[in-house]
Amino acid sequence: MEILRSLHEFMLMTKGREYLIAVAFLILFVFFFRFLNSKPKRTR
Amino acid sequence: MSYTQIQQIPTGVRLREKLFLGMNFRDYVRAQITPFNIIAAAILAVGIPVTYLRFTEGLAATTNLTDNYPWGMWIGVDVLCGVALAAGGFTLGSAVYLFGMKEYHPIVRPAILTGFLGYFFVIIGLCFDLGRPWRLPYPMFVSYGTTSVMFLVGWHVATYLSCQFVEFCPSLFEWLGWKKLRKWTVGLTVGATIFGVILSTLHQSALGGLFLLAPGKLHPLWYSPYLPVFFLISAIAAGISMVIFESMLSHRFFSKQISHHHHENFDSLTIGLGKAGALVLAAYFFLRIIGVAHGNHWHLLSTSYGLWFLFEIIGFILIPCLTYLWGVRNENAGVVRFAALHSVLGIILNRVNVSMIAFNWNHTDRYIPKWTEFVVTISIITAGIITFRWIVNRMPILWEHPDYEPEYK
Repeated sequence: MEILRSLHEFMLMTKGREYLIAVAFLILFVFFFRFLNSKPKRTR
Repeated sequence: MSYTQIQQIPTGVRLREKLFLGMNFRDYVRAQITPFNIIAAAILAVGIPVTYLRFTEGLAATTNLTDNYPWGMWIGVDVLCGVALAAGGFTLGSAVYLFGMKEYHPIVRPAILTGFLGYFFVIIGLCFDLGRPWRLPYPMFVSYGTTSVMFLVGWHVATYLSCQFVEFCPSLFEWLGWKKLRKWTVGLTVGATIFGVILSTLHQSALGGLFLLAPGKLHPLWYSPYLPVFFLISAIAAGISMVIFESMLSHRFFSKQISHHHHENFDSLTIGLGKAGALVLAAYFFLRIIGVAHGNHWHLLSTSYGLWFLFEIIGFILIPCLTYLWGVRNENAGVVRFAALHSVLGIILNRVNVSMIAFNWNHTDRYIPKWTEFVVTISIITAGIITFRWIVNRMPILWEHPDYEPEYK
Protein backbone atom coordinates (compact mmCIF):
# COMPACT_ATOMS: atom_id res chain seq x y z
CA MET A 1 0.00 0.00 0.00
CA GLU A 2 1.51 3.33 -1.02
CA ILE A 3 1.91 6.09 1.61
CA LEU A 4 -0.07 9.22 0.79
CA ARG A 5 0.96 12.19 2.87
CA SER A 6 -1.96 14.56 2.32
CA LEU A 7 -5.58 14.61 1.26
CA HIS A 8 -4.49 16.52 -1.84
CA GLU A 9 -2.06 13.74 -2.76
CA PHE A 10 -4.75 11.12 -2.13
CA MET A 11 -7.28 12.96 -4.30
CA LEU A 12 -4.72 13.49 -7.05
CA MET A 13 -3.75 9.84 -7.04
CA THR A 14 -7.24 8.32 -6.81
CA LYS A 15 -8.95 10.77 -9.16
CA GLY A 16 -6.08 10.56 -11.63
CA ARG A 17 -6.35 6.78 -11.82
CA GLU A 18 -10.15 6.97 -11.94
CA TYR A 19 -10.13 9.38 -14.88
CA LEU A 20 -7.52 7.31 -16.73
CA ILE A 21 -9.66 4.18 -16.35
CA ALA A 22 -12.75 6.13 -17.48
CA VAL A 23 -10.99 7.46 -20.60
CA ALA A 24 -9.58 4.00 -21.36
CA PHE A 25 -13.08 2.55 -21.01
CA LEU A 26 -14.62 5.13 -23.36
CA ILE A 27 -11.99 4.37 -26.01
CA LEU A 28 -12.22 0.58 -25.57
CA PHE A 29 -16.01 0.71 -25.58
CA VAL A 30 -16.00 2.08 -29.15
CA PHE A 31 -13.83 -0.85 -30.32
CA PHE A 32 -15.90 -3.30 -28.30
CA PHE A 33 -19.12 -1.96 -29.89
CA ARG A 34 -17.65 -2.19 -33.41
CA PHE A 35 -16.31 -5.69 -32.77
CA LEU A 36 -19.68 -6.83 -31.36
CA ASN A 37 -21.60 -5.51 -34.37
CA SER A 38 -19.22 -6.70 -37.09
CA LYS A 39 -19.75 -9.98 -38.93
CA PRO A 40 -17.13 -12.65 -38.15
CA LYS A 41 -14.87 -13.69 -41.01
CA ARG A 42 -15.99 -17.09 -42.31
CA THR A 43 -13.19 -19.58 -43.04
CA ARG A 44 -13.73 -22.00 -45.91
CA MET B 1 -63.78 -22.81 -31.13
CA SER B 2 -62.83 -19.25 -32.02
CA TYR B 3 -62.67 -16.50 -29.44
CA THR B 4 -65.56 -14.56 -31.00
CA GLN B 5 -67.75 -17.67 -30.81
CA ILE B 6 -66.83 -18.14 -27.14
CA GLN B 7 -68.19 -14.65 -26.38
CA GLN B 8 -71.62 -15.63 -27.72
CA ILE B 9 -72.09 -18.60 -25.38
CA PRO B 10 -73.64 -18.38 -21.83
CA THR B 11 -71.62 -16.80 -19.01
CA GLY B 12 -71.28 -20.01 -16.94
CA VAL B 13 -69.83 -21.95 -19.87
CA ARG B 14 -67.65 -18.96 -20.79
CA LEU B 15 -66.31 -18.80 -17.24
CA ARG B 16 -65.48 -22.49 -17.40
CA GLU B 17 -63.79 -21.93 -20.74
CA LYS B 18 -61.65 -19.15 -19.29
CA LEU B 19 -60.84 -20.56 -15.85
CA PHE B 20 -60.70 -24.31 -16.44
CA LEU B 21 -59.31 -24.16 -20.00
CA GLY B 22 -62.48 -25.67 -21.49
CA MET B 23 -62.52 -28.68 -19.16
CA ASN B 24 -65.08 -29.50 -16.50
CA PHE B 25 -63.92 -29.05 -12.90
CA ARG B 26 -63.15 -32.76 -12.31
CA ASP B 27 -61.05 -33.08 -15.49
CA TYR B 28 -59.29 -29.83 -14.70
CA VAL B 29 -58.29 -31.04 -11.20
CA ARG B 30 -57.13 -34.35 -12.68
CA ALA B 31 -55.03 -32.51 -15.27
CA GLN B 32 -53.27 -30.64 -12.47
CA ILE B 33 -51.59 -33.78 -11.12
CA THR B 34 -48.19 -33.26 -12.71
CA PRO B 35 -44.64 -33.65 -11.31
CA PHE B 36 -44.19 -29.84 -11.22
CA ASN B 37 -47.46 -29.33 -9.33
CA ILE B 38 -46.64 -32.07 -6.83
CA ILE B 39 -43.25 -30.46 -6.05
CA ALA B 40 -44.89 -27.00 -5.85
CA ALA B 41 -47.58 -28.36 -3.50
CA ALA B 42 -44.89 -29.94 -1.28
CA ILE B 43 -43.01 -26.61 -1.09
CA LEU B 44 -46.19 -24.68 -0.26
CA ALA B 45 -47.21 -27.35 2.29
CA VAL B 46 -44.11 -26.33 4.27
CA GLY B 47 -44.24 -22.64 3.32
CA ILE B 48 -47.81 -21.93 4.45
CA PRO B 49 -47.34 -23.12 8.08
CA VAL B 50 -44.04 -21.16 8.24
CA THR B 51 -45.93 -18.09 6.99
CA TYR B 52 -48.50 -18.62 9.74
CA LEU B 53 -45.64 -18.93 12.28
CA ARG B 54 -44.03 -15.71 10.96
CA PHE B 55 -47.21 -13.65 11.35
CA THR B 56 -48.27 -15.11 14.69
CA GLU B 57 -44.93 -15.55 16.49
CA GLY B 58 -42.95 -12.75 14.82
CA LEU B 59 -39.52 -12.37 13.23
CA ALA B 60 -37.58 -13.86 16.16
CA ALA B 61 -39.32 -17.22 15.77
CA THR B 62 -38.67 -17.50 12.05
CA THR B 63 -35.41 -15.64 11.35
CA ASN B 64 -31.83 -15.31 12.61
CA LEU B 65 -32.03 -11.50 12.33
CA THR B 66 -30.43 -9.47 15.11
CA ASP B 67 -29.80 -5.78 15.85
CA ASN B 68 -26.49 -6.16 13.98
CA TYR B 69 -28.21 -7.85 11.03
CA PRO B 70 -31.65 -6.25 10.71
CA TRP B 71 -31.78 -7.13 7.01
CA GLY B 72 -31.33 -10.73 6.02
CA MET B 73 -32.27 -13.10 3.27
CA TRP B 74 -35.76 -11.69 2.71
CA ILE B 75 -34.33 -8.26 1.87
CA GLY B 76 -31.13 -9.52 0.21
CA VAL B 77 -32.77 -12.10 -2.05
CA ASP B 78 -36.53 -11.47 -2.18
CA VAL B 79 -36.36 -7.68 -2.46
CA LEU B 80 -32.95 -6.72 -3.91
CA CYS B 81 -32.67 -9.65 -6.36
CA GLY B 82 -36.41 -9.58 -7.11
CA VAL B 83 -36.40 -5.89 -8.09
CA ALA B 84 -33.23 -6.27 -10.20
CA LEU B 85 -34.48 -9.35 -12.04
CA ALA B 86 -37.87 -7.73 -12.64
CA ALA B 87 -36.17 -4.89 -14.57
CA GLY B 88 -36.87 -6.70 -17.85
CA GLY B 89 -40.31 -5.09 -17.94
CA PHE B 90 -39.01 -1.54 -18.09
CA THR B 91 -36.03 -2.44 -20.30
CA LEU B 92 -38.09 -4.20 -22.98
CA GLY B 93 -41.05 -1.82 -22.50
CA SER B 94 -38.88 1.21 -23.29
CA ALA B 95 -37.20 -0.60 -26.23
CA VAL B 96 -40.54 -1.45 -27.85
CA TYR B 97 -42.90 1.37 -26.83
CA LEU B 98 -40.44 4.29 -26.63
CA PHE B 99 -37.64 3.44 -29.05
CA GLY B 100 -39.92 1.73 -31.59
CA MET B 101 -38.01 -1.58 -31.74
CA LYS B 102 -41.16 -3.39 -32.88
CA GLU B 103 -39.30 -6.60 -33.72
CA TYR B 104 -39.15 -7.26 -29.98
CA HIS B 105 -42.94 -7.00 -29.58
CA PRO B 106 -43.44 -10.81 -29.32
CA ILE B 107 -41.38 -10.87 -26.11
CA VAL B 108 -42.53 -7.60 -24.55
CA ARG B 109 -45.69 -9.01 -22.96
CA PRO B 110 -43.95 -11.90 -21.17
CA ALA B 111 -41.27 -9.42 -20.06
CA ILE B 112 -43.90 -7.04 -18.66
CA LEU B 113 -45.72 -9.92 -16.94
CA THR B 114 -42.42 -11.10 -15.40
CA GLY B 115 -41.75 -7.53 -14.22
CA PHE B 116 -45.26 -7.08 -12.81
CA LEU B 117 -45.25 -10.41 -10.95
CA GLY B 118 -41.64 -9.82 -9.87
CA TYR B 119 -42.58 -6.54 -8.17
CA PHE B 120 -45.80 -8.00 -6.76
CA PHE B 121 -43.88 -10.81 -5.07
CA VAL B 122 -41.18 -8.36 -3.93
CA ILE B 123 -43.91 -6.58 -1.98
CA ILE B 124 -45.11 -9.91 -0.55
CA GLY B 125 -41.49 -10.65 0.48
CA LEU B 126 -41.18 -7.19 2.00
CA CYS B 127 -44.31 -7.77 4.08
CA PHE B 128 -42.62 -10.85 5.58
CA ASP B 129 -39.59 -8.78 6.57
CA LEU B 130 -41.40 -5.77 8.00
CA GLY B 131 -41.95 -6.04 11.74
CA ARG B 132 -45.50 -4.74 11.50
CA PRO B 133 -46.54 -4.83 7.83
CA TRP B 134 -50.11 -3.80 8.63
CA ARG B 135 -48.73 -0.34 9.51
CA LEU B 136 -47.28 0.06 5.99
CA PRO B 137 -49.87 2.75 5.07
CA TYR B 138 -48.57 5.04 7.86
CA PRO B 139 -45.16 5.99 6.35
CA MET B 140 -46.77 6.07 2.90
CA PHE B 141 -49.89 8.13 3.53
CA VAL B 142 -49.94 9.48 7.09
CA SER B 143 -46.44 10.38 8.24
CA TYR B 144 -44.31 11.23 5.22
CA GLY B 145 -40.56 10.68 5.59
CA THR B 146 -39.58 12.65 2.51
CA THR B 147 -35.87 12.72 3.43
CA SER B 148 -35.66 8.92 3.67
CA VAL B 149 -34.36 6.73 0.83
CA MET B 150 -36.71 4.02 2.09
CA PHE B 151 -39.68 6.36 1.64
CA LEU B 152 -38.61 6.88 -1.99
CA VAL B 153 -38.17 3.14 -2.57
CA GLY B 154 -41.54 2.34 -0.94
CA TRP B 155 -43.50 4.89 -2.97
CA HIS B 156 -41.67 4.07 -6.18
CA VAL B 157 -42.22 0.34 -5.92
CA ALA B 158 -45.93 0.94 -5.22
CA THR B 159 -46.38 3.39 -8.12
CA TYR B 160 -44.24 1.33 -10.48
CA LEU B 161 -46.35 -1.74 -9.72
CA SER B 162 -49.37 0.34 -10.83
CA CYS B 163 -47.54 1.31 -14.06
CA GLN B 164 -46.73 -2.32 -14.77
CA PHE B 165 -50.35 -3.24 -14.12
CA VAL B 166 -51.48 -0.65 -16.69
CA GLU B 167 -48.99 -2.13 -19.20
CA PHE B 168 -50.29 -5.62 -18.39
CA CYS B 169 -53.98 -4.60 -18.63
CA PRO B 170 -54.36 -4.97 -22.45
CA SER B 171 -53.65 -8.74 -22.12
CA LEU B 172 -56.08 -9.00 -19.19
CA PHE B 173 -58.87 -7.14 -21.00
CA GLU B 174 -58.31 -9.09 -24.22
CA TRP B 175 -58.81 -12.27 -22.18
CA LEU B 176 -61.94 -10.89 -20.55
CA GLY B 177 -63.22 -9.54 -23.87
CA TRP B 178 -63.58 -5.97 -22.51
CA LYS B 179 -62.78 -4.12 -25.73
CA LYS B 180 -63.44 -0.53 -24.55
CA LEU B 181 -61.31 -0.84 -21.43
CA ARG B 182 -58.63 -2.58 -23.48
CA LYS B 183 -58.57 0.29 -25.98
CA TRP B 184 -58.34 2.80 -23.13
CA THR B 185 -55.40 1.02 -21.45
CA VAL B 186 -53.57 0.58 -24.78
CA GLY B 187 -53.74 4.40 -25.07
CA LEU B 188 -52.16 4.70 -21.63
CA THR B 189 -49.29 2.30 -22.39
CA VAL B 190 -46.76 4.86 -23.67
CA GLY B 191 -47.46 7.19 -20.73
CA ALA B 192 -47.17 4.30 -18.26
CA THR B 193 -43.88 3.22 -19.88
CA ILE B 194 -42.39 6.73 -19.63
CA PHE B 195 -43.52 7.01 -16.02
CA GLY B 196 -42.18 3.48 -15.38
CA VAL B 197 -38.74 4.30 -16.81
CA ILE B 198 -38.47 7.38 -14.55
CA LEU B 199 -39.56 5.40 -11.49
CA SER B 200 -37.31 2.43 -12.29
CA THR B 201 -34.24 4.59 -12.81
CA LEU B 202 -34.80 6.19 -9.42
CA HIS B 203 -35.75 3.22 -7.28
CA GLN B 204 -33.25 0.75 -8.80
CA SER B 205 -30.49 3.23 -7.92
CA ALA B 206 -32.12 4.10 -4.59
CA LEU B 207 -31.84 0.46 -3.51
CA GLY B 208 -28.07 0.88 -3.90
CA GLY B 209 -28.39 4.26 -2.20
CA LEU B 210 -29.76 2.53 0.91
CA PHE B 211 -26.28 1.08 1.51
CA LEU B 212 -24.66 4.51 1.29
CA LEU B 213 -25.98 4.94 4.82
CA ALA B 214 -23.64 2.18 6.07
CA PRO B 215 -20.11 3.11 4.94
CA GLY B 216 -18.53 1.52 8.00
CA LYS B 217 -20.51 -1.69 7.72
CA LEU B 218 -20.13 -2.57 4.05
CA HIS B 219 -16.72 -3.84 2.92
CA PRO B 220 -14.78 -1.06 1.09
CA LEU B 221 -14.57 -3.11 -2.12
CA TRP B 222 -18.37 -3.19 -2.35
CA TYR B 223 -19.04 0.19 -0.76
CA SER B 224 -18.70 3.06 -3.18
CA PRO B 225 -20.35 6.45 -3.65
CA TYR B 226 -21.26 5.00 -7.07
CA LEU B 227 -23.40 2.25 -5.50
CA PRO B 228 -26.66 3.73 -6.92
CA VAL B 229 -25.10 3.70 -10.43
CA PHE B 230 -23.88 0.11 -9.93
CA PHE B 231 -27.35 -1.00 -8.90
CA LEU B 232 -29.02 0.72 -11.86
CA ILE B 233 -26.61 -0.56 -14.52
CA SER B 234 -26.59 -4.08 -13.08
CA ALA B 235 -30.41 -4.05 -12.97
CA ILE B 236 -30.51 -3.25 -16.71
CA ALA B 237 -28.13 -6.18 -17.36
CA ALA B 238 -30.25 -8.38 -15.06
CA GLY B 239 -33.44 -7.32 -16.85
CA ILE B 240 -32.06 -8.12 -20.31
CA SER B 241 -30.61 -11.45 -19.12
CA MET B 242 -33.83 -12.37 -17.34
CA VAL B 243 -35.88 -11.67 -20.50
CA ILE B 244 -33.58 -14.03 -22.48
CA PHE B 245 -33.77 -16.68 -19.76
CA GLU B 246 -37.54 -16.36 -19.25
CA SER B 247 -38.27 -16.45 -23.01
CA MET B 248 -36.10 -19.58 -23.30
CA LEU B 249 -38.20 -21.29 -20.61
CA SER B 250 -41.46 -20.02 -22.17
CA HIS B 251 -40.47 -21.36 -25.59
CA ARG B 252 -39.66 -24.70 -23.99
CA PHE B 253 -42.72 -25.12 -21.77
CA PHE B 254 -45.39 -23.13 -23.66
CA SER B 255 -44.20 -23.83 -27.21
CA LYS B 256 -47.73 -24.73 -28.39
CA GLN B 257 -48.89 -21.18 -27.71
CA ILE B 258 -46.20 -19.54 -29.82
CA SER B 259 -46.76 -19.02 -33.53
CA HIS B 260 -44.44 -20.58 -36.12
CA HIS B 261 -43.27 -17.09 -37.19
CA HIS B 262 -42.16 -16.23 -33.64
CA HIS B 263 -40.39 -19.56 -33.28
CA GLU B 264 -38.39 -18.73 -36.42
CA ASN B 265 -37.45 -15.25 -35.17
CA PHE B 266 -36.71 -16.34 -31.65
CA ASP B 267 -32.96 -16.92 -32.14
CA SER B 268 -32.40 -13.56 -33.85
CA LEU B 269 -34.27 -11.77 -31.02
CA THR B 270 -32.14 -13.62 -28.46
CA ILE B 271 -28.93 -12.57 -30.27
CA GLY B 272 -30.16 -8.96 -30.44
CA LEU B 273 -30.76 -8.97 -26.69
CA GLY B 274 -27.38 -10.63 -26.22
CA LYS B 275 -25.72 -7.64 -27.91
CA ALA B 276 -27.38 -5.30 -25.43
CA GLY B 277 -26.39 -7.59 -22.56
CA ALA B 278 -22.72 -7.59 -23.64
CA LEU B 279 -22.60 -3.78 -23.89
CA VAL B 280 -24.26 -3.21 -20.50
CA LEU B 281 -22.07 -5.80 -18.75
CA ALA B 282 -18.92 -4.24 -20.27
CA ALA B 283 -19.96 -0.83 -18.90
CA TYR B 284 -20.81 -2.37 -15.53
CA PHE B 285 -17.43 -4.15 -15.32
CA PHE B 286 -15.50 -0.93 -15.92
CA LEU B 287 -17.67 0.96 -13.45
CA ARG B 288 -16.85 -1.61 -10.76
CA ILE B 289 -13.12 -1.11 -11.49
CA ILE B 290 -13.63 2.65 -11.26
CA GLY B 291 -15.30 2.03 -7.89
CA VAL B 292 -12.10 0.38 -6.61
CA ALA B 293 -9.97 3.20 -8.03
CA HIS B 294 -12.19 5.86 -6.46
CA GLY B 295 -11.48 4.59 -2.96
CA ASN B 296 -7.90 3.56 -3.79
CA HIS B 297 -8.68 0.06 -2.51
CA TRP B 298 -6.29 -1.82 -4.77
CA HIS B 299 -4.37 -3.22 -1.79
CA LEU B 300 -7.55 -4.97 -0.54
CA LEU B 301 -7.72 -7.11 -3.68
CA SER B 302 -5.10 -9.49 -2.28
CA THR B 303 -7.14 -10.18 0.89
CA SER B 304 -9.73 -12.98 1.17
CA TYR B 305 -12.56 -10.51 0.58
CA GLY B 306 -10.58 -9.15 -2.38
CA LEU B 307 -10.40 -12.60 -3.95
CA TRP B 308 -14.15 -12.98 -3.44
CA PHE B 309 -14.62 -9.56 -5.08
CA LEU B 310 -12.48 -10.63 -8.05
CA PHE B 311 -14.45 -13.88 -8.25
CA GLU B 312 -17.63 -11.81 -8.53
CA ILE B 313 -16.46 -9.24 -11.08
CA ILE B 314 -14.40 -11.58 -13.27
CA GLY B 315 -16.43 -14.77 -12.87
CA PHE B 316 -19.88 -13.20 -13.00
CA ILE B 317 -19.50 -9.92 -14.94
CA LEU B 318 -16.51 -10.19 -17.29
CA ILE B 319 -16.97 -13.84 -18.28
CA PRO B 320 -20.74 -13.54 -19.03
CA CYS B 321 -19.92 -10.38 -21.01
CA LEU B 322 -17.33 -12.26 -23.10
CA THR B 323 -19.70 -15.23 -23.43
CA TYR B 324 -22.38 -12.87 -24.76
CA LEU B 325 -19.78 -11.46 -27.17
CA TRP B 326 -18.81 -14.94 -28.39
CA GLY B 327 -22.45 -15.98 -28.79
CA VAL B 328 -23.37 -12.83 -30.73
CA ARG B 329 -20.29 -12.95 -32.98
CA ASN B 330 -20.90 -16.60 -33.83
CA GLU B 331 -24.70 -16.13 -34.01
CA ASN B 332 -25.11 -18.90 -31.48
CA ALA B 333 -28.33 -18.29 -29.52
CA GLY B 334 -27.62 -21.22 -27.19
CA VAL B 335 -24.40 -19.57 -25.97
CA VAL B 336 -26.27 -16.27 -25.51
CA ARG B 337 -28.86 -18.07 -23.36
CA PHE B 338 -26.10 -19.65 -21.28
CA ALA B 339 -24.52 -16.19 -20.83
CA ALA B 340 -27.93 -14.86 -19.72
CA LEU B 341 -28.24 -17.50 -17.01
CA HIS B 342 -24.64 -16.82 -15.92
CA SER B 343 -25.36 -13.10 -15.78
CA VAL B 344 -28.56 -13.61 -13.74
CA LEU B 345 -26.56 -15.67 -11.22
CA GLY B 346 -23.95 -12.88 -11.15
CA ILE B 347 -26.52 -10.23 -10.23
CA ILE B 348 -27.93 -12.50 -7.50
CA LEU B 349 -24.38 -13.00 -6.17
CA ASN B 350 -23.80 -9.23 -6.19
CA ARG B 351 -26.96 -8.47 -4.20
CA VAL B 352 -26.20 -11.26 -1.71
CA ASN B 353 -22.63 -9.92 -1.34
CA VAL B 354 -23.79 -6.34 -0.72
CA SER B 355 -26.61 -7.21 1.67
CA MET B 356 -25.18 -10.19 3.54
CA ILE B 357 -21.63 -11.44 2.84
CA ALA B 358 -19.75 -8.12 2.66
CA PHE B 359 -22.13 -6.46 5.13
CA ASN B 360 -20.77 -6.27 8.69
CA TRP B 361 -17.58 -7.81 7.30
CA ASN B 362 -15.63 -6.68 10.39
CA HIS B 363 -18.04 -8.31 12.87
CA THR B 364 -17.16 -11.59 14.52
CA ASP B 365 -20.75 -12.87 14.57
CA ARG B 366 -22.06 -13.83 11.14
CA TYR B 367 -25.62 -13.96 9.91
CA ILE B 368 -26.66 -17.33 8.53
CA PRO B 369 -30.31 -17.51 7.47
CA LYS B 370 -32.60 -19.86 9.40
CA TRP B 371 -34.19 -22.74 7.47
CA THR B 372 -37.55 -20.97 7.70
CA GLU B 373 -36.10 -18.00 5.80
CA PHE B 374 -35.09 -20.33 2.95
CA VAL B 375 -38.56 -21.91 3.02
CA VAL B 376 -40.32 -18.54 2.73
CA THR B 377 -38.05 -17.40 -0.13
CA ILE B 378 -38.53 -20.67 -2.05
CA SER B 379 -42.30 -20.54 -1.41
CA ILE B 380 -42.52 -16.98 -2.76
CA ILE B 381 -40.58 -17.96 -5.91
CA THR B 382 -42.83 -21.02 -6.34
CA ALA B 383 -45.96 -18.89 -5.94
CA GLY B 384 -44.55 -16.50 -8.58
CA ILE B 385 -43.95 -19.33 -11.07
CA ILE B 386 -47.43 -20.79 -10.47
CA THR B 387 -49.06 -17.37 -11.00
CA PHE B 388 -47.00 -16.77 -14.18
CA ARG B 389 -48.03 -20.17 -15.56
CA TRP B 390 -51.72 -19.62 -14.64
CA ILE B 391 -51.77 -16.30 -16.50
CA VAL B 392 -49.76 -17.50 -19.54
CA ASN B 393 -52.06 -20.52 -19.94
CA ARG B 394 -55.10 -18.25 -20.17
CA MET B 395 -54.25 -14.76 -21.38
CA PRO B 396 -52.72 -13.65 -24.70
CA ILE B 397 -49.16 -13.25 -23.39
CA LEU B 398 -47.20 -15.48 -25.76
CA TRP B 399 -49.76 -15.49 -28.58
CA GLU B 400 -51.60 -12.74 -30.38
CA HIS B 401 -55.32 -12.48 -29.79
CA PRO B 402 -57.03 -13.01 -33.16
CA ASP B 403 -59.42 -10.05 -32.61
CA TYR B 404 -56.51 -7.59 -32.24
CA GLU B 405 -53.82 -9.24 -34.38
CA PRO B 406 -53.69 -6.45 -37.04
CA GLU B 407 -52.73 -3.95 -34.29
CA TYR B 408 -49.53 -5.85 -33.51
CA LYS B 409 -48.19 -5.53 -37.06
